[in-house]
Amino acid sequence: MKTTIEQLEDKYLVTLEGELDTAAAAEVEKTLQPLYTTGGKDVVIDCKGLEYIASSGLRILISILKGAKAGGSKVLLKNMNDDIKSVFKLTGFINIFDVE
Amino acid sequence: MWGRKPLIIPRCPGIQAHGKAARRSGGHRASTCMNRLKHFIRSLRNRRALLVVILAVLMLELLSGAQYYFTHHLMEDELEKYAEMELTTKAIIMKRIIEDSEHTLKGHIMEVKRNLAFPDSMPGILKQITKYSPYLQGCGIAFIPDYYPDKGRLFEPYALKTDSGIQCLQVADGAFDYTKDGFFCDIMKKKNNSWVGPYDDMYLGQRLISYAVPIYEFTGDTVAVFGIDIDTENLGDTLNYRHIYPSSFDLLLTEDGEFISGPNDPGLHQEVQFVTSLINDSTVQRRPSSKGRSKIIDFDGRERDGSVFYVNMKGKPHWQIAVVCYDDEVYSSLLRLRYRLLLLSLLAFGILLYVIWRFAEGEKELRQKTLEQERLAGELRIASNIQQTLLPEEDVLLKGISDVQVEGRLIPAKAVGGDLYNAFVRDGKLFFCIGDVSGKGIPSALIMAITQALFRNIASREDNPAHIMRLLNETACRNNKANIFVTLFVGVLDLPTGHLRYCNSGHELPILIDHSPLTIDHSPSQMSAEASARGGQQCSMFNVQCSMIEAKPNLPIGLFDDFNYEMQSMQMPPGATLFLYTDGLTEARNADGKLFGRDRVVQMMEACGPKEPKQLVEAVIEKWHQFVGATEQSDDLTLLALRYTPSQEQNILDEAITLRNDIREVEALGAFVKQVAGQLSLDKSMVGKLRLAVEEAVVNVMEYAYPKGTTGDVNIRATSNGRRLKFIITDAGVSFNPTEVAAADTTLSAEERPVGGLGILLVRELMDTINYERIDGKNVLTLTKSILNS
Repeated sequence: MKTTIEQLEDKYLVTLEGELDTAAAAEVEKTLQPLYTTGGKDVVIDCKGLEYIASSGLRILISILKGAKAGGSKVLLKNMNDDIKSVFKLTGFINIFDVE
Repeated sequence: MWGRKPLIIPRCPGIQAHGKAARRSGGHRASTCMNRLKHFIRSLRNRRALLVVILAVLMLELLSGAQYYFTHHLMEDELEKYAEMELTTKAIIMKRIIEDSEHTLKGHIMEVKRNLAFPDSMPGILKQITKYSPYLQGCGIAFIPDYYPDKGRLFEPYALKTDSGIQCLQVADGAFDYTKDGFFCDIMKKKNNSWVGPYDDMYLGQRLISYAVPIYEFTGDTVAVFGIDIDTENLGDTLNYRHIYPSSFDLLLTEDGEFISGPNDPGLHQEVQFVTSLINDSTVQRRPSSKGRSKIIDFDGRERDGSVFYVNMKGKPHWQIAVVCYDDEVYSSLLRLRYRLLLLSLLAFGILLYVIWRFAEGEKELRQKTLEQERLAGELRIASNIQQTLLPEEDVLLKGISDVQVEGRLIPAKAVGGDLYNAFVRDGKLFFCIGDVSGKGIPSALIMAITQALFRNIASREDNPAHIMRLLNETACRNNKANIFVTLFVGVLDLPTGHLRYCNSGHELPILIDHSPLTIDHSPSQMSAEASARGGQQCSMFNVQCSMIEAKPNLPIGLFDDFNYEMQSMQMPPGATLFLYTDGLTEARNADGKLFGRDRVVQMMEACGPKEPKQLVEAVIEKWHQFVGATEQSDDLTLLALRYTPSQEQNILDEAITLRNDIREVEALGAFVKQVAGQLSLDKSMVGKLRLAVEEAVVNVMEYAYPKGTTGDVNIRATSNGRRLKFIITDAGVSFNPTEVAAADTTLSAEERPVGGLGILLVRELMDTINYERIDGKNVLTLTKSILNS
């Protein structure tokens, strides 16, 4: 599992690659923890390389979303594959995230 | 699988019977009565009743009017007869007075003539005449002037009746010149006897009427006028001494209509004048009497209406006699009669109105009652339909479940009943119940509906039948003022294992029908001598063994909210059938009053042999119908049969992996799922789903079954028959049932969403079934997924 954060002028660019299962979630959370408070900047998460996500991964995303919403910014998910999208649909996350 | 639910058209006794209009109960307040009356009168406008009332009133009035008319006519005739009689009588009296007076005078003419030479004898003669004639006021002889030179120019001796006797007067004493008086001149001129007057006598100051004759000397010259005077006042009294009606009066008029005499009452003066002028007025309409010679003038427009009857007397003088009658007196009896009739007709009208009112009220009430009954019948029909829909729908709940067959029937005795049954599959378990609410009718039906809904609700999150029973009991005890209780049998059959857990609350014991010897699994503490004695009715026909399952009776729910319901369990042998029923079956009576009885049920089961639940239920119902015959069904009848038919197919795959309760082990789980999926050639999307579901379930176990700090293993076994893939996750941690965990609400917004609850949601969404059992101190969670199309 590979997680990167790129800080641009007005937003954070996050790239998720690999399988975000329960085992990997702890490390990913450690990496993404700074984004729990975004300071008004939007977060764009590129899921192009994301092959799998478990509920622990979803929990990290919703924590980021909650922080962003509190700061008045948005979280945009892009390039999700169909399997990941179907998980988002099952959990209703498709309705609360901005999905591109 | 599910037998078709019979559409029962319930009998609704008493609904068609409209009955007689119920008597209104008394004690209505007057205001209510008035309001009703007002309403009734208002409502009359559009009613035939009004027409009837009007017609009746018109008829009554017409009859009364006709009667009045005819009676009036009759009385008019009678009046004419009376008046005629009165006039005749009075004429006779008058005639007698006239004739008497005339005869008296005529009888003394000769004596006067003989004594012409002796003027001083005249007073004596006159005195005698006056004395013997009662009506005479006086009597006198007026001699022509200078007839007796020594008596002066005028000489008229006169005898006058006074209170103190008869006085003799010499009228002609110079103060009164009778030669200029009308009657003297008249007689002298006519030389004939005649009646004179009436006139006001200046000298006597009275109104008189006189009869006079001329006195001839032997030479043939008229020398004197001999006359008598009659006091008209006296005459009036005689005329009015008696009347046909109290205020009637009689008048005497001359032929020319001049008033002679009448009643002397000064109060009647005006009336007398009016009647006199009426008779003298030729323009006034008069009609002849049908009973005699008299003429009638009717007058009105005055204070009192009335009629004048008058007639001319026969012979000379041709005077007229009149009698006046007033209508109010003549027709007073008729008026009284009229008023009485009016009163009676009013009374009759009132009674009629009252009768119609009561009739209309009765009719209205009857109509309202009928409407009410129809409404009630309609509502009962709807309630009955609703109650039927509360029962489990055919095919819906057991769709795709091949491990069990269920058939249920409810035949209510009335439109709505207090029996219930339910059965549905959740998480690989069949939840079922059968129950009987105490009492009958709508109150029981309401409790039935509540219990039915509650069971569905509680059992959709609670797996333990004793817990379900406890929760049902708590709700049933709350506000149970009617003290309605429910006997219930709740069962939970684990479909993968055939493990049946149940809890009884005073309900009839279900019958287990089995091919193979029965094995009952219960802890020794739950054993009771009673249960042992009741159970174990074994038989060998068709190799079928029937037995009442052992169940503690406990207590019906709704009695004590803190009662501790105990759960029992047993193993359901494959192919065995559990038959549940309510006392509507065992306590059904035939025409002879015999009970259907439990033995008959058991015998039937033995005789029937192994059957599909649907056939079994239908056979029992048929038997029940035959038994009760035409006897009225006294209680609801409910039957529920379920047959355990687990699939016994060969597994083409059986793999297992054991992990420690460490999140990091999850990586190995991913590899395990991929390997299993690879063996079954499942596509990538399916692999993702299976991996996610199994991972979530295993992580759940790791987090909850093993509290922090404890260690243990989680075994994951994957089996497949080629059509379904099954993951059985077993751990030895604390009892934890993930199917009772509430799944996350996917409709909430980002801010509202809790972080947890996603795992179980994903497991439920991704897998076909999820089943939890605590077996031998272990948590056993089974997830299944159809892989046919993958």
